[in-house]
Amino acid sequence: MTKKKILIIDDETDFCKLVKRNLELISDYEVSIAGDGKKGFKSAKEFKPHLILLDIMMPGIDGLEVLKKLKADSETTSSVVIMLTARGDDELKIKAAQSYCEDYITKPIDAPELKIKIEETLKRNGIK
Amino acid sequence: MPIKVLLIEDNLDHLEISKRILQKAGGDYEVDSASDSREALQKIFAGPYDVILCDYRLLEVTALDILREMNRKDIDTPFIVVTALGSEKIAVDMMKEGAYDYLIKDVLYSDTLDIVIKKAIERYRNKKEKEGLQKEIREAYNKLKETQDQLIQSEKLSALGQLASGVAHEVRNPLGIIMQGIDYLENKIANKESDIQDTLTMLKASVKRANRIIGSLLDFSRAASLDLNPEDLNGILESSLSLVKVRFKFENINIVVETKNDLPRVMADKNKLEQVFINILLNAMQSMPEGGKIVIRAFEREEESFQNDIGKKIPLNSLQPGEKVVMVEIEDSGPGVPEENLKKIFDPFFSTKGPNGGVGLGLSISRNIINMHKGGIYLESQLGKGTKVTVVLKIAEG
Ligand SMILES: Nc1ncnc2c1ncn2[C@@H]1O[C@H](COP(=O)(O)OP(=O)(O)OP(=O)(O)O)[C@@H](O)[C@H]1O
Ligand SMILES: [Mg+2]
Repeated sequence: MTKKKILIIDDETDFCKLVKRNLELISDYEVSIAGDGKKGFKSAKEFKPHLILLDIMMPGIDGLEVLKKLKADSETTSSVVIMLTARGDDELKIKAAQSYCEDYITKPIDAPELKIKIEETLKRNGIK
Repeated sequence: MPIKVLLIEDNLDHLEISKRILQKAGGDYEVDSASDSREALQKIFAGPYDVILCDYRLLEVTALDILREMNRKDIDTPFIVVTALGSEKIAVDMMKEGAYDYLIKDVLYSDTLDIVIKKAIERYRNKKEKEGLQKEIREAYNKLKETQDQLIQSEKLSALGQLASGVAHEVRNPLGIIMQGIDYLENKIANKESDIQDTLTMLKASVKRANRIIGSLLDFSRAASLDLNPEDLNGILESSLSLVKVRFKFENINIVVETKNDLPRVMADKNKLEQVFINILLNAMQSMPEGGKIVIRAFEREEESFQNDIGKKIPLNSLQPGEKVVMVEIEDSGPGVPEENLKKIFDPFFSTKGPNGGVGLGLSISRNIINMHKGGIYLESQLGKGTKVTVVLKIAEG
């Protein structure tokens, strides 16, 4: 059985690092991280993650733009996306994203909860 | 329409004379009379008359006594006093007391009676008209003021809303990092001493607490915009109850719902109103950690009773006369709120629940939301007996 691959795209690089550490510690995922939208899109193409955690609000290309690009590209369209938000009040953006993404998470989230959310989302999408 | 005159006169001859003058005057008069003060007052109270003509000197009393009695009862029918020649001073005193005019029993009496009555009635009409206009102006002013207050309030809230979501973003990101960091340490440190585990647990609880404050702040400012629709109140109460039951576990709390099935729909933002009921229910439950009883009632009320009941707490100028409202009462059998706290419970950040209890925004958010609905919310409490929160909501039109 090959490891599931997770990509985290968030300009909060410390957050990326720690989530990576945690997931690698408590789960069996292979985790890669990207600090902005452009790098994120690039590594989505190369790394071919099963699931992407994507921050909505990022400088440069914001999460919503990245999401649309990911879904429009045949190489990345099959990656399942969970949006990350820190505000908890950008329903509009989440609504806009909803037709493309699987779910969203409001920070802060603790590691066990995150792990469960990822597992469930993968399962729901038939990625075993 | 005939002019209804009440003649108060204890001298029957004079009474006859006055009656005849009025008949001859040709004006369409309907004359009634009273020959003593008791009969006079009885008739005045039974009224109404267009004008009252009163002889100054009656048997045991004077016209002044009658006028004062009328003033006490707020009867403002034009009052004309009739005096004997040479007692103009009395007449002036009477006018000070509110009489409209005076007539002197002299040779001119028969010529002037008709004119004086008509003048008094005209003055009365003008006065009423002016009062009506003033009332309209006052109402228009109040409406304007209310709209302005609401505008200021929603301006403030939207500024606060922008601030709050900015703050939320700036604070929740670092909280996210801290949370992940704590989890990492928790997993990484094997064979932890209990002090270390304890420390980590405290850190995590603090992150959650800070996050809760941010959440409340967002809720607080989000009351700024409402999505109003005609809603079924029973449905909203039910979903609030089940949300509370799912999210929070309380034991030994007996909840009784006494609502009418045929309640009219209310104008409401469903989610926000749910939030209000959840806040109130949570407060009630939190006040009874050992268990107790909560009664939820919802019923329709008419405007008449506002003055003495609803009127105390809901801005009356946001309701039309005859308007109906729906009232929701949520009553608990908890310890109640001490007198000195009653004034503060709706203030933002007022809480008696300690650092790990509440933020103190539940009721103030609720009041914001209800104000935006142009409704009312108030809390009554009796120490040792319990607390009742009442929410008043406008009924959806049509
Ligand atoms: N049903 C009640 N019985 C007794 N005290 C109450 C009741 N409801 C409110 N209070 C008092 O009013 C205070 C303010 O209530 P409010 O809901 O605004 O804040 P909180 O419950 O302390 O915190 P939060 O709602 O933000 O979690 C409470 O701390 C409590 O002292
Ligand atoms: Mg509360």
